[in-house]
Amino acid sequence: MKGRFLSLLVPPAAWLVIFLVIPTAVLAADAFSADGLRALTDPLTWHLFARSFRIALVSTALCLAVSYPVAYFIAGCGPRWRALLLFLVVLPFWTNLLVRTYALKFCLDPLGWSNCESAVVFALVQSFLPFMILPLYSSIEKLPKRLLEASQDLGASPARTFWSVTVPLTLPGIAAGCILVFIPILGIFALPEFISERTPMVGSQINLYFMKGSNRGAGSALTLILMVLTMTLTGLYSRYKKSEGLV
Amino acid sequence: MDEFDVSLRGVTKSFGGRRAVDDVTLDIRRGEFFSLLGPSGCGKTTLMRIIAGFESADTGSLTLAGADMAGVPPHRRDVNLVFQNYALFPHLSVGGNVAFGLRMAKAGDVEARVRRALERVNLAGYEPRAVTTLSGGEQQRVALARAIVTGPRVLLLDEPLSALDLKLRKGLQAELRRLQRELGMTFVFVTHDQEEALAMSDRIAVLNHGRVEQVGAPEDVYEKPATRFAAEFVGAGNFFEGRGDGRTFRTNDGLSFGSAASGEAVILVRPEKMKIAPGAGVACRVEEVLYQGASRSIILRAGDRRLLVEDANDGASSRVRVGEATAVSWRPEDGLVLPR
Repeated sequence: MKGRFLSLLVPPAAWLVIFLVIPTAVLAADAFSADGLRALTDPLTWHLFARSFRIALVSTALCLAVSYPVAYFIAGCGPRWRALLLFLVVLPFWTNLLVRTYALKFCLDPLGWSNCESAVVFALVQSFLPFMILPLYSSIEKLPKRLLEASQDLGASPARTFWSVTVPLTLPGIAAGCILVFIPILGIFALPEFISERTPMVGSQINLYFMKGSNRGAGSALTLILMVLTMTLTGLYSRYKKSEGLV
Repeated sequence: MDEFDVSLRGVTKSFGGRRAVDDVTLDIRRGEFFSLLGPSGCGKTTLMRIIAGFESADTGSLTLAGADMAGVPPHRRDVNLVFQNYALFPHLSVGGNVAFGLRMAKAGDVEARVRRALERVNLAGYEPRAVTTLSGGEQQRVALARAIVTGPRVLLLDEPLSALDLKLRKGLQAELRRLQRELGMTFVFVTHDQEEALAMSDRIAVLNHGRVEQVGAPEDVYEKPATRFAAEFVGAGNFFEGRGDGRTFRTNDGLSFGSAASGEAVILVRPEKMKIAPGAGVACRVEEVLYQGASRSIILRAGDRRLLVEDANDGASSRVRVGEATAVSWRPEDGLVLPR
């Protein structure tokens, strides 16, 4: 019986070894090669990480600022409007990201708004909005209305009710949305280059090292750093979820 | 000057064509324990939400301590509400919940006031606890402490005891009454439980279909019901429809007994006013005897109808047996003549 049960584990274990463990080991070995270590001392690397961080941070903040009112509004609608509006939120996914980005570029170019960091942020915000709106919506929708009434009854104005009750109680949605937006943007490539070639991010440089520069060591080093950053963030997030009793 | 804390004048409120509150006029005195009593859907909760400011009246006016409340939002009203399911903030500790109103008012001395409020509801030292770990009765007390800590002029309580078990409810009834007396605060208590309203209130408003059927002290509502509905809703009773000639009353189903009523009338006799003894009175047969400790409920059959008699367990009354033929009587003045 036990042997049979263990044999069920063989395919997934093989999958993990072949597609996760071995590539990661190769990546790590490459990262600690001479090329990889040299990339760590290259100011360009840290310049790109700084820019990626900045762009991801600003885009996430803007996404949150735009999405919160939208999600709040949708949660306050009747069931039929809700369904329609949520459908509209996910509608962009029906089109390929590259096509959408090209379309956006054709819109931005005539305005003279391209080839700069702010245009990249704008493009990222608009394409990541659904990832922020959906978790926020599900969190706001669960908020009991009587808690908002209790707050107002105890003398809190609508604005103070929002900051003292609504925001703290929808923090799980805010955290989920921020993680879903921040992490992919941190490592994104392709989209930023379409909008602006002058402001490359870490993802573009990794692509460059592997595909064009044939500098596997440097590419691996940057990838490894990115992986550690991402895993730290998701680790912090799951710890927060545990402390909130969400898991 | 103005002795009324809450004054409603001709207040009407409809939801989708249905009148939830229909032309209600009420004056609630300062420091009074006032109950809004009625079955579900009678408009008592809507009335309370109008006073709190969560609903606005279609017509009519509301004044709190003499000030007109038209257009005044809930957070600017000197009224606090104890919600039916407590509505405690799950992201705040017990202390944080109680301090909430004080923080909003930017009051000083928050810690000491929170401590005193929790002491008042017998939860001294509960400040750091999480509200989700508390029992129903404890959550109820926290909600109460949170509502009284800011010292509002009027406290509204929306069926605050309905989710608790009987024993806890009885204990909290006495505690609420004591609290109200100590604070001298005006309590507006919403309930569908007539026993609770009778036990706790200075005055009761009996509501039905959004209208006020009667306002009065518990004794008045019980002993002198103004309408058939008030008589039926508050306490149990035996109702006789028929005609009287000023001396004898004949019911439509053929019973007769002494009464000063004349003409078409409905007469109410409370169960505890009826005495069972063979001989004079309305002839009947004992159908069921329900022993309840302090008293016995005896169901009698007289002609086509059933009568309910409440017999105090004072050792004086004779025992009756199921199936026994006997008679039931009452003093003519205990037959309350109801307006038709």
